[in-house]
Amino acid sequence: MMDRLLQLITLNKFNRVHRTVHLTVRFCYGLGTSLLLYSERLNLKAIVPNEVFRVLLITISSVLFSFTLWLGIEALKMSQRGSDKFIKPPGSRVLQIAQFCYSRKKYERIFLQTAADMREEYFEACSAGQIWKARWVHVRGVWSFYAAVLTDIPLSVVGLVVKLWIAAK
Amino acid sequence: MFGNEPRLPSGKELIVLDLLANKREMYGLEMVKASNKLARGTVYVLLSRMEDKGYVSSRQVKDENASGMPKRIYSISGLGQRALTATRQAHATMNWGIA
Repeated sequence: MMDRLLQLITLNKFNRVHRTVHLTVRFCYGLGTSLLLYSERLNLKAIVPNEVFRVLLITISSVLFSFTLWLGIEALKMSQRGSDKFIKPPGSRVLQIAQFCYSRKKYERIFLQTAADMREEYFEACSAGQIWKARWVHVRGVWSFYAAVLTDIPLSVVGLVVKLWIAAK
Repeated sequence: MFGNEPRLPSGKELIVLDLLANKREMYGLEMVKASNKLARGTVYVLLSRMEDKGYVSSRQVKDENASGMPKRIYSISGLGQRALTATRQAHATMNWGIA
């Protein structure tokens, strides 16, 4: 599982870097060509006397410049997209808190199972590319933790009171 | 009043016992998906208490497919089966008495 995750992260990182470099190179090439054409446009009448060719050249340079701008924005977006650092899977923090606060038996029977279910659904949604569903699963999973705590505390208190009452009888 | 004598299972415990009696073994999440009365947040608290009462038994299995975390699979115990049968009989008698 961990190997597969590492492989996926490495692959993702490689794809992102490759795409960013590719887009940046294309952006620079486009920008250079556009600037060249625009600089020639200043003295275009002398260089291209034919009006049709001149209009065609201006159109091409405008299209190329727009395309270059789009490439630049894409490259910017790509470079700003997420970092490559490891992120903890959902429910890690609440699991740590539960491990500290509860007995091993309760931790394994209740909280670990809740986290396992949440992660199963979360990874399923992620692998299907359903980001919003994954976010919703995360929120619902954290709420499940609190619901488990809220359900467990009163039951434990009542159980303790009953045990004490029986012992006192 | 609160001795060690066995008591009939509650409503949600009955749902779990019913599901486990129909299917041999089930995960907690499967139970939640199979029944609309069980919630994700409370099902494991319920199962834990049922395990303490001896109605269900569980074993840990390594789930390789999704999260990679150890999961517990639950099955009905002999006491759970007897409790379910007794509750069904009690309900049938009550229904017959009302009718």
